[in-house]
Amino acid sequence: MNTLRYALRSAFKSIWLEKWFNLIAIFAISIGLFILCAFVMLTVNMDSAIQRWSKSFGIIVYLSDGLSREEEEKAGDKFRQDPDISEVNYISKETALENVRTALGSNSLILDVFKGNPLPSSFELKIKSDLLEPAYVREKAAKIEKMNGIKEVQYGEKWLSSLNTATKIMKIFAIFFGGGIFVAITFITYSIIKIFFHRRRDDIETLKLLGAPRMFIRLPLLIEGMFMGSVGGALSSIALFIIYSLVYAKIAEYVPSIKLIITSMPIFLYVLVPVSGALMSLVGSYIAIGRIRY
Amino acid sequence: MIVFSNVAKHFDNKRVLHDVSFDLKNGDLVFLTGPSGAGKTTLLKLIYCFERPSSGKIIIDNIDISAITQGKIPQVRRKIGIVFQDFRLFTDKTVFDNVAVTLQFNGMHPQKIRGYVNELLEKVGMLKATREFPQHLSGGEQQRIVIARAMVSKPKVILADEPTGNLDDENARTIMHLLKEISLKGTTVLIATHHKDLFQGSGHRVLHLNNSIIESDYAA
Repeated sequence: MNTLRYALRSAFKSIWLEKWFNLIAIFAISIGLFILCAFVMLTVNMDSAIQRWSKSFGIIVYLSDGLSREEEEKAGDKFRQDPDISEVNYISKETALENVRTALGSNSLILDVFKGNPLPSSFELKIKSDLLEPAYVREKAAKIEKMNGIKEVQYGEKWLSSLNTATKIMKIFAIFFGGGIFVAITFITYSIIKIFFHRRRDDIETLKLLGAPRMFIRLPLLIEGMFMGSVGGALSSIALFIIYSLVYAKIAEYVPSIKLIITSMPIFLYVLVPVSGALMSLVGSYIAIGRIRY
Repeated sequence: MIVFSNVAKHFDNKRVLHDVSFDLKNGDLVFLTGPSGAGKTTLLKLIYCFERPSSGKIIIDNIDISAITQGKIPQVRRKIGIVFQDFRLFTDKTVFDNVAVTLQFNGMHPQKIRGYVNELLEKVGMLKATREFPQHLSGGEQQRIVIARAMVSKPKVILADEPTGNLDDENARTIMHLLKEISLKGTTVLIATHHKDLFQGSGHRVLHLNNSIIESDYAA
């Protein structure tokens, strides 16, 4: 407890004494974290768009002609019991014809050419969003197609595949980008703390000769590093929030529907930014101090 | 308290200390003398584990420090108060904080620290300078702060490397008086100096180093 009190006092004294160095580091860290946050916000929005699109993704299962009502219901029950399927909608021949008539509007007379109803009954199945892997959906569709009484199975294979690729690319990019920012912030803190460490090497040497424990020597520098990271993070969070609010309000004036499409970063992420900034800087400071040898 | 048994120290091929043996008891005040480069500072460095002996054994307060691990060095150093020749005071800390630092890392409560430090600063005649920064004080005053810092954690041993080297006669006498007082309280004090005036006729034990060996061990 006393060590922590001493370390806090020493760290804040040094922050004040080296205020210009600290300001530069905080500024650099906040720029790095701001870019990362902006990217996270973009990712969150893209992800929610993908989630919205995937909700509308369905497999259409056309039933063979001549199936009795019981047989159709039996097929429907099978789909409802399937844990991979989140929603099952039955579309009877009559409803399908009605839908086509509505869609064709004044051109619906063309349907009178057919004797009777040419359209089959069908089921519209919604696959659970976490299972929307192209390979998995393809396999699922093939299995359904092999079931008795199924004439044909259709789904947007290309669309699903593109969506999946986009999501994967985004995730990989997020990992590399996040990693890059982590390395950059760690390096910034590493460099600054290394400079501080060298500037204070005589005092550190004296502390070692007096028998100060390693933690007593390290802690002020670690606190200083964490301070830089957390303040840099807090500044980038505040800047992002302000910029987002201003831009959002401006766009919403002209395109009110934007409110339904664009979402802000979740509040917990705004809090997480200073915390992650502090952690990145802690790693940098720790490496900069290195092993303290007596 | 301090036992040297056949200690040798070489730097590459250069012999600095050879077959050094002596034994200091609690409350001893001993002078380590010899010409410049005789190995006085190296011998002190061996005691506070800044250097390791090339051979032989060193025991401090029943701990064999010849083969001590890195992690245990701070514990040994906390038993020793060092009066450095170049003071080694923290220029960004006040006189009070310079003296308090060893108590802070020993985990003492701030209120207790205040009492201890003020008492000691009064003893060395520096209470009025509590809030001053060391660089604003004279050499003699700085040396008194260093002695207060060395004494504050009540160490078993005090090592003083040329403690009066940069001081005038009056300040030198004050410093010597303080060191003698410390030894009378049971602390072993080892003073490295080449100023004969400090010990001549005092009756204290003198270890004279020359050509890397203890040439003579006598009472002044």
